[in-house]
Amino acid sequence: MLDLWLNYRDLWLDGVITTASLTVLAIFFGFFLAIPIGVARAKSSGVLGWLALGYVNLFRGMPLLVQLFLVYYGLGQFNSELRAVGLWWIFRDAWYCGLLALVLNTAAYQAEIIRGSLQTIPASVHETNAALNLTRWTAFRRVLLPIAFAKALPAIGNEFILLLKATSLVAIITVFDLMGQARFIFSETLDLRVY
Amino acid sequence: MFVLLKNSALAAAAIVLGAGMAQAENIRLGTEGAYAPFNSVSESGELNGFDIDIGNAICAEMQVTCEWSTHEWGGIIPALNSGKFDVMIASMAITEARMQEVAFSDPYYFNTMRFAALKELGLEDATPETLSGMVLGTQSGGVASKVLKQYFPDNDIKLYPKLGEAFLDMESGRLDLVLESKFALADWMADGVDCCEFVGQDFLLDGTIGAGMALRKDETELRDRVNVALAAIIENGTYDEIRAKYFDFDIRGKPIAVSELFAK
Amino acid sequence: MDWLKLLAIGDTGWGDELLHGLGITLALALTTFPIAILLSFAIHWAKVSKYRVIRVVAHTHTTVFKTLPEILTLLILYYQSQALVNWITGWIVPGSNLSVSPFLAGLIALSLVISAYGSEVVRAALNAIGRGQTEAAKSLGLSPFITFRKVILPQLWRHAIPGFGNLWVILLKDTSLVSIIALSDLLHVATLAINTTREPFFFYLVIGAFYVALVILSTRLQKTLEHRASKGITRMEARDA
Repeated sequence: MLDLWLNYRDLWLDGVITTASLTVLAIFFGFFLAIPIGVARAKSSGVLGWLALGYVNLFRGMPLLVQLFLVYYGLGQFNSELRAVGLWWIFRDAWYCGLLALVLNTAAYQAEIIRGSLQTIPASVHETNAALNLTRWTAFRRVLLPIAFAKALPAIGNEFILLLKATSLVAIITVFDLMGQARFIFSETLDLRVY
Repeated sequence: MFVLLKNSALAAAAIVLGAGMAQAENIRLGTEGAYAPFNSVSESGELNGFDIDIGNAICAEMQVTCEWSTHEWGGIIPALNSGKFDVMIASMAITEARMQEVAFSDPYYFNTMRFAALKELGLEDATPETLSGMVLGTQSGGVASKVLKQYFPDNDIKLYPKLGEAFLDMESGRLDLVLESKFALADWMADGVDCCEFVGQDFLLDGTIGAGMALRKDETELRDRVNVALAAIIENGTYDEIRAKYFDFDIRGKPIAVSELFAK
Repeated sequence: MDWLKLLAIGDTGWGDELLHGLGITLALALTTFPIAILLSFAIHWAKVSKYRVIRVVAHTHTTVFKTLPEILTLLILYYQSQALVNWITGWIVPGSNLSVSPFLAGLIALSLVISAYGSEVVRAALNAIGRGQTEAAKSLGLSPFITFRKVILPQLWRHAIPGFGNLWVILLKDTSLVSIIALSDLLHVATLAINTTREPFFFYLVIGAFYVALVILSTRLQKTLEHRASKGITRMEARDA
C-alpha cells in the first residue's frame, strides 16, 4: 500500500493541489456571481427575476457531469467562432473549462441560499432602514447583505464540501485532480487499492 | 427463515447452473465498443467491427455459442478477472505488465501506432525534436499513453477516458497530435474529417507481441482452444475474408519498434 | 435544419436510443429511491439503537458515504462487488457465474449514498414530531409497530417530503454517473451518439433539457405533495410542529 503512495508521490501532490485550487476558486467566484442572481430571485418579479429563475433551474436541473461536457466538448465545437472573438484561450484549456462549469453550477446553488437568507430577514430590519432614510443601495450593502451572509454561512460551508466532492468529476475532461491521478495510477498499476 | 432462504438460494443457483449445462457451451466475450473499426456500437445499438467478427468466427470454429458485452476500457481487465465475461477481444496489446494480470492468446494482428496531426501545423515527421512544445493526446490506459510518457516527457500530454473524446479535441484544436492505432485513426479521418493527417512512421511499443485476446490466468484450457481456433480460421481463409472487409492491406506484419525510431 | 433528423426515432436517428437511455435513467432512479428510503429508516434506527456496535456501524456508514465523492463510491463498488458476489456464491455453488451488472452496482452505490443523507432527513422529521406522540400511543397500549405505522408515519410524511424530495432530485442527477461504468443511461447514449455524429453541443444540450424537465416536474410534484400533506394544518401549528 505504501509503495502506491511513495512511487506516485508527485502525482498525488499535483492532484491535491488541483482539487484544492479548483474548489477554492470555484466557491469564491461562484459566490460573487451568486449575489446578483440571488438578489434578482429574491426581489425582482420582472425580466430579471425570470432570467435568474431560468439560470437557477438550468444549472440546478442538469447533472454537473453534463454541464462539464457541455462546456468542454460542446463549446469546443465552436472553436473557430471563439478564436475569431479572441476567447479561445479560455476554452482551450481543460482546467479553465472545468472551473467555469463548477463556478456556473455552484453559483446557482449559492444564489438559492442567498435568496433564502434574504427573504427571511425580518420586516423590522427593512422598516428600520427606511426610518433611517438609507438609500436602497446603502441599505443593501451595509445592512442586508451582511445579515444574509451571516445566515447563509453554514449553508455555504455545506456547499463547499459538496463542491470539493464535485471536483472529482473534472477528471473526466482530462483535468488531473486527485480523482484523475487515481484513475491514471489505477490504469498503470491495475491495483484497486489506489482508490 | 434462514433455512428457507438458504434452500431457495441453493435452488436458484442450481437452476442457473443446470440451465447452463443443459445447452451448448456458452462463452461470454467482452469488448469496449468505442474503438472503431475494431469494436464499436452502431446507431441501431449493435456491436460491430473487426474484433466482433473475429470473435464470432472463433466461436463458430469452437462450436460454442457466444454472447458479447461492453465495458469501460479503464476497467476492462478487472471486469475480466472478476468473472463478468470469459474472453476479451478488444484489440488489447500484449505487454509484460498486462501479462502479470491476465493470460493472452496468440496475437491475432499487429496494431501499429502512428501520429495524426493537425494539417495546419505542416509537420513533415514526428520525432521528439519536431514535436517539442506541442500538446499530445491519446486514450488513457492504453499502450500509446505509455509511449507518450516515455518518449515525449517534456510535452503536454492529455489523456481521455474514450478515444472518441481525444478526436473531438483534435477537431477543436485543443490537441496538436493524437497517437493511437493507425487503423483507428484512419477510420476516424475517413469519416468526413479533414482537419488532420498522418505524420511520421508507424511503430510498435518495444516488446509488444501484437494484439491478443485476454483470458483469466487460470483458464489454460480455454486459451488453448482459442489458439487452436484462431490458427484454424487463419488457415482456412476466414481470417483473410474478415480482414479484407476492413483493411485492404495485411495487418499481421510486424513493423518497426518504437525505440529504434525515437532512439535518444 | 437537420437537427430534427438527428433526433428521429428509428434506425437513422438517435431519438429512440435517447428515449431508451431516458428509460434506463428513470428505471435506475425509480428502483433506487424506495430502497434508499427504507435504508434511511434502517440507518436512523441503527443510530439510536442500544447496541453500541450497531450505532458505530451506522455512523460509519453515514460518514463514509457523505465524504466520498459519489463517483468514487460507484467505481469502487462496481469493481469490488463482483469479487464479493463471487465469494458468496462460491460458498453456495462453486464455479457459478452470477454477474453484477452495472445497473445493480449503480443501484447499490446510489442507495448507500442517498440513505446516508436520508437518515438525517428521517431524524429531523422524527424530531419535528416530538416524543409526545409516541408516549401518548404507549399510554393507549398500542404496540411499537402499530404506533409507528398508524401514528408516526402519517405525521412523518409532511416533514419528510421536502428533504426526500430534494434527495430525489439529487438521485436523478447522480444517475448520470453510471454512464462511466458503461450503463446505457441517457448520458451514455448521448456520448455514443456524439462519437458518430460529432455534434457534442447539440446532444449535450438535448439531454441537459431532458434532465431539467425531469427536475422541474419533480419539484412541481413535490410542491403538490407538500400542499396535500399540509391540508388542515393551520399556519400556527405548522410553525410549531
